[in-house]
Amino acid sequence: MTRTQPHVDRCASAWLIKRFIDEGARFEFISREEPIPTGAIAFTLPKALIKPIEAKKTTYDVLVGKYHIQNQVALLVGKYIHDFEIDAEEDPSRVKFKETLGLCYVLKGLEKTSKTDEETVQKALIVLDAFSKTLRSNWRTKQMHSRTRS
Amino acid sequence: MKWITRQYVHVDRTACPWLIKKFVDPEAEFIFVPVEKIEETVEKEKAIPYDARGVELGHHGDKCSFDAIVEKYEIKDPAVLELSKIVRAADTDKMEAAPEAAGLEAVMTGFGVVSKDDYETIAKASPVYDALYTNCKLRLIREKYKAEIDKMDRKQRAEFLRRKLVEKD
Repeated sequence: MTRTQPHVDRCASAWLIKRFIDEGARFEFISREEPIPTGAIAFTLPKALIKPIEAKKTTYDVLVGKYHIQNQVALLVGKYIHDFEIDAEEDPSRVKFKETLGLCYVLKGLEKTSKTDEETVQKALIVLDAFSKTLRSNWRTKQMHSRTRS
Repeated sequence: MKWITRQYVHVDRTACPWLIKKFVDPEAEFIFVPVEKIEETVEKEKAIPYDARGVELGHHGDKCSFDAIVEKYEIKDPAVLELSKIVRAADTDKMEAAPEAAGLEAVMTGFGVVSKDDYETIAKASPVYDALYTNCKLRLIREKYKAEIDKMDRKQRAEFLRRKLVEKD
């Protein structure tokens, strides 16, 4: 359960949950003011246990810590989300990684071009599956090169 | 109309179908073939070629095929012109020319790996270009109405931008 109109952190968190925590997860969306239904695991809502820590951690970071995510690709994706949401904050010129703005502006734009929040998340899963594939491939290439050199 | 290009699409050849469908030919059909089959398939299918060597709708100078389509069909939409800078940067490997370029390129590379064919790739790519086009539109709206927007709180700003996004120019 999360807030309506998901943007970068909520979309990426939904991907992390679906791919690395709970494959069968279903997502529902409520406003800030609505009570959290019993039985739902809430994230990025005022009364949720899983939510960002301002200027320090994204919801994605909190999920990684809570569920002890060790998958390299999941951790790499998290770096881009952290870069956009925490390190760059309101100033895009402060991003550390060259792919951050392209990825995160796409995720941000999905909400404005989707009819429902469910549709936004579906599209975000597709985008992040693709992005993570490229990261995995680049990471494996780096591993091979460092093994060749040593 | 039928439109044809080289198979194994990446940036330009995912952006162009989006542009063609949205601004040139909503009924467009796309064909993807090995490069050596382009000429004969153009003839056989009476298709318009794009992003292939020697074609009108291809790279010219430092511009890419997306630019060629924008120019040929006189697409004046300001957000498309903004988007063309991103596509050009990503496709001509000048990532520093647009901050979104590297991320776009990474996502398109991934689509090429996870998709079973070019049709699936362009279907997955279309929402990405919708999203980037909308971001470009929002950037232009923010620039145009900066003075008003600076006086608004976050909620007012979000509502204002949503309203402006759906208004016709």
